[in-house]
Amino acid sequence: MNWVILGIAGIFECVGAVGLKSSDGFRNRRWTIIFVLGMFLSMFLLSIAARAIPIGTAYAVWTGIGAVGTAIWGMYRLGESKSLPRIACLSLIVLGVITLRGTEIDDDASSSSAAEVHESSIHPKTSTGLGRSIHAKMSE
Amino acid sequence: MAWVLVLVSACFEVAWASGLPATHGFTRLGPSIVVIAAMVASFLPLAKAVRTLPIGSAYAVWTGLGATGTATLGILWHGDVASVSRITGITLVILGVAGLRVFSSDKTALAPAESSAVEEPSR
Repeated sequence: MNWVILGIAGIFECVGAVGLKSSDGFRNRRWTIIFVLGMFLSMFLLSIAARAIPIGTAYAVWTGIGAVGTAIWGMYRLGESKSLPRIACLSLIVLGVITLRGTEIDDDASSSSAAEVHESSIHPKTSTGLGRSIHAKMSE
Repeated sequence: MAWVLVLVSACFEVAWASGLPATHGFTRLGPSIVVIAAMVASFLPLAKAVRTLPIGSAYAVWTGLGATGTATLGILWHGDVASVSRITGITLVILGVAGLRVFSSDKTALAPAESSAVEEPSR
């Protein structure tokens, strides 16, 4: 159910983005309202989904659906370029954002588990690393 | 010029994304006001930019630069680890944005402004 909510949040993000485009710089009132409602509902549903899904993962999926959906809408409904280089570059950006969002926030949020294992392997002087070395010495 | 507006917009996105945790789920008034103001400030230039730019490109670049800026800020200021995943993500976004610029029909202004976004992670 949470994944369905997350999917709907992503779709509303597309609605918001399309509203932004069609609002003509917020000159068109109807599209401006669609933009505001779309973005608000999108973030509201994201926050609900993120109660059950780790926020980094939720954010990555949400951004992915939003950016890809908006690009597809632009190509098929607004006549934007479907050239291979453009699609490749858009894919790189989405991949980069998913990499950033999908890892960083989960890492930082769960500072007690995965992140510290990860960090202590790079920075031995972090508390976990220190704790480990003390622990290791005590058990020797 | 429109791409510069996307860049400005992305800077405000970094501001509100970085400030979001301080609002504690919008339960604290002061930080909430600042974050909402930054959100509005982020969408205004973007709305102007997409009057001429394709929404698919502009939205992806905006999201991409926002995520890159937030991650870079985290590494430089908050002492986040410059992990392989972060560097990979930042690199992918910059490659994609630079590529879009090369293949875009609007070749006016991002190139000089973009260099400032690119130089941050290399510090």
